[in-house]
Amino acid sequence: MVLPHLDAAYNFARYLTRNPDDAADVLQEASIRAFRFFGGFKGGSVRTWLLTIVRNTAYTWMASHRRGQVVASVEDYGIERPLEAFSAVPWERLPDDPETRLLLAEDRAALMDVIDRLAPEFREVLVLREIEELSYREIAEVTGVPVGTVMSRLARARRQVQDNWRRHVALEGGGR
Amino acid sequence: MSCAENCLRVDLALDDELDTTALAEFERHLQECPDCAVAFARQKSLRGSLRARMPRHKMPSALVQRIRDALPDEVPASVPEPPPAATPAATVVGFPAWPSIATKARLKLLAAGLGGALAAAVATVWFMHVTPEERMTQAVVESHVRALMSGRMYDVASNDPKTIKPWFTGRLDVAPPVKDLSAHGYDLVGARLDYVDNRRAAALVYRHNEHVITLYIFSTPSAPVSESDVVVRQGYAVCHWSKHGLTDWVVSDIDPDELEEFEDLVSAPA
Repeated sequence: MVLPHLDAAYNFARYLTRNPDDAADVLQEASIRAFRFFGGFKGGSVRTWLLTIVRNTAYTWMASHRRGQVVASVEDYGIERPLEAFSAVPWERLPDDPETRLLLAEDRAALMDVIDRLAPEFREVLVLREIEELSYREIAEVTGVPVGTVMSRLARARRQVQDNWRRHVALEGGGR
Repeated sequence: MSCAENCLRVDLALDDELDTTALAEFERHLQECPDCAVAFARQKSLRGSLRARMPRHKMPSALVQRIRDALPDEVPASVPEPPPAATPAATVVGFPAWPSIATKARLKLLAAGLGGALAAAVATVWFMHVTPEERMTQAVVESHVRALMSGRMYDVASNDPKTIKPWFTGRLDVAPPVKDLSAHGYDLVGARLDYVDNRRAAALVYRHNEHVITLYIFSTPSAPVSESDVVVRQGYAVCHWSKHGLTDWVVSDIDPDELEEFEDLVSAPA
């Protein structure tokens, strides 16, 4: 019952830090915090609670270990716009050539790279939704932002994955 | 509801965030709006690809040990799990020993019956005791149940090993042995490629009376020859064995004795 949460915790830390060694440090720290502060657990989902601790630990850890880099926020990327602005370019206008489809993404390393390039705020919602399959409300709980923000970040994360993948295919795919 | 508004619902529909009424409305809209239908189909395929292909990072076993060593050795006695390895907290470099007052307060909280707190403590302690075998057992049961629930039991439907075996060529780095066991009451019905515990596996599907049996075959070049007993998890009987560089896992809701019979038939020399 409980094991998947801890694997989930490691996986989440791995995506947040983008590095196995840092993920290990973060998970160790987070386990200790979880163990020490379990009095703060207010009921609800153990997994959501644990992922929240992992996330907070990861950001604190990165802020102190990677001073001056990596912990860029959405604001730095200049892409936190209202949802309306985003939806001005609807999905259906995107080109639909088969090789841009992620379906063909045999290359996991390339996919990992595409995901690693997402802004941290986008990467975390994508992982929480597609791997952990959390609901918007649960994601909002873990990331500490309103549900509406979760929704727009997730939509934009998916959009960026497609765009970045298309770019990857364009760079790689000349000879194919 | 305008098309633009429905456009926004593509993600919501995909993420099960629409209530029944809104979902019905959205589905009606898909019927009449090809743009949204295409958008929805594309998003659905992206979702499928991401879920299938985004790496799920596994916790390294060395890390489990490291965390076990770093955690204070003060598991409340009421936690119904074995305590972690005896490492005195004071010897753990870099992590402060626990104040005993806090410990007492925590024990009080536990005594007060904070179920959530207890669950969290168990969570932290328990995972260190889950063996790779137990994790794998869980993974094959999950995979089997998922296939049953989705109705997608196989990618290739055939009762002929000569059809199924070549189907795996190029999909796996092993040629899985496929046996026709219909003479013994186990009918081969098909096979699929599956991904279990971060590894590719051939999944052969057999039927026995009304029961479905999934036989997973993994390439494990360095695994020693071994054979497990049948265990039952969530009502499913599971067993596994390794030889000739292959590891087989079988899961089914049949009787454990029958599962053993099936194992004997599969693992018998051809």
